[in-house]
Amino acid sequence: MRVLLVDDNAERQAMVRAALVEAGHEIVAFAAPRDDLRAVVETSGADVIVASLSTPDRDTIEGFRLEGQAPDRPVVMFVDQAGAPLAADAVRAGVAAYIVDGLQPARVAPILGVAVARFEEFRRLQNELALSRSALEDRKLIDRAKGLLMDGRGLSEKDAYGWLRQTAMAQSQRMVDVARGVIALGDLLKK
Amino acid sequence: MTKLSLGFVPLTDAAPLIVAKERGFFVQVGLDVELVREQAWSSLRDKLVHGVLDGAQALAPMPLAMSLGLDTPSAAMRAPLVLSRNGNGITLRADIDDALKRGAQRPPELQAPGGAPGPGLRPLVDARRASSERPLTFAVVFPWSCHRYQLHDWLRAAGLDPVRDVAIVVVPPPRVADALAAGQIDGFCAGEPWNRLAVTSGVGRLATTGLELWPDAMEKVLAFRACWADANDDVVQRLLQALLRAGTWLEPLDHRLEAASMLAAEPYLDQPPSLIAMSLLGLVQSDRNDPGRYLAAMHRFCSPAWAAPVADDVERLVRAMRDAGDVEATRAVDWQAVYGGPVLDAARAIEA
Repeated sequence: MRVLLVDDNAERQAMVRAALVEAGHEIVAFAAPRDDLRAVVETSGADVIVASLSTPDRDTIEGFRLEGQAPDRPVVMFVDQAGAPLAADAVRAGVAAYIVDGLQPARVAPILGVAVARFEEFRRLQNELALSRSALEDRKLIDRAKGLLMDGRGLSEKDAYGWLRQTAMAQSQRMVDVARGVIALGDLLKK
Repeated sequence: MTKLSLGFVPLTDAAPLIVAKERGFFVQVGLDVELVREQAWSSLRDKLVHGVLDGAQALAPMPLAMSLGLDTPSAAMRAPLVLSRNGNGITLRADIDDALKRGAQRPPELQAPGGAPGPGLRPLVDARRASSERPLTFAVVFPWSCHRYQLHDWLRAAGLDPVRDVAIVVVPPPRVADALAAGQIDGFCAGEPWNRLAVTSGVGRLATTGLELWPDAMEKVLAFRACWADANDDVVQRLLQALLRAGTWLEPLDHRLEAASMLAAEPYLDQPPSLIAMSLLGLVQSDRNDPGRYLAAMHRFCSPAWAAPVADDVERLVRAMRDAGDVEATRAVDWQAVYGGPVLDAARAIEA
């Protein structure tokens, strides 16, 4: 089937596109603000529109109802009550689907399923990336604090590390928070 | 502390929610509120219906459309509090505004009162039709909005049929100025700061304000699913108290300036504070060179005097929805079930 993808996150759009192509669908992608969404819907011949829940362009799609006359206007998939649990999953994952009039909602479910799975994978990857970034930041702070302790108190690297660890345990803080304290104090001492 | 998540759309009239959060009014009543920014009304509606959000700022007609099953997905809703009144405007592209004034053949200050576009619009529509150009196209922010109904009334005042004579489409407010410049639309009805942005960039001219079309109309409300609101009566009551305090706090002009910098921040509107300050203070300019005038009523927020939906508010809305053909003339509308409610109790509680 022909799927029109509306997502203002280019990276995620690429992921979802790859997954849908693999499932044998043809993809038309929309890129705001370069494209006029109404014109793209008109000319693309899409059977179904898969949109990111958070994109402002969704309101434009909802607005097609106002123009009502033309037969090939998309309608919201959530109309179909049988699809309600899927709709709830989709909302939680951040993806919405619109089917074009005349298509059975059941035929859209597999497409939406693929999109939901990819959206969730995208979110997991973003979380992992954020975690590894903050781990790297923590590492740097701890190293700086260690350096200050080695210079200021003449400790060996091992003892400096041990001191940070012990203090963290004693105060039930994270090591990076103790390190932040040491750095703040170090800055204060310099002034 | 009770944890809650409330949705909002980055607009000037989200002020009461943002002020209640930033000034600690939520915390004062034991609520730990997370404000969730939504870029689309449809996204906010879906999250509300599926319980991802506990409550949300909503366009005044949304909860009624949802309760009547006009919108999908639908659910019975409660909207006991008016967060804001007024604040909308109709902006036209500069060349359309020129043509309109030529068609009127009299100085703009002598045009029809009450924000009506005067006789100039009709010839413009007929000329388009004769040359089979695309019809005059206006954008609104969402199908279930006062913007759409106010635009309808404005067009009718010019003797036009809003369905047959023009095209009305939905364009998200952040894209409206670009769509106007690119000629995809000829005008729009939106809230602030979007009229101001189109006017100050020179692309558009403000034709009228919602204040002139529907004086003191309820614009945004606080909406919940009925089943959630009924099961969390006490939380709703505390939420209303916090928001009434925020609405009261927002009344003096110096507080509005302070609010402008709260709203401007990244998690909220993420726009220049000066832009938001001008609209919160009620400065209205019809074009870039217009020194402007201050309309004190341009934004009213949920102070106790303005926070309860009254019969006039809802009757005007239901009349507009019937005129638009959204609600059949014969269908009874139990608006009390949606907009009725406990604001007065909350107002008494904060006075005590």
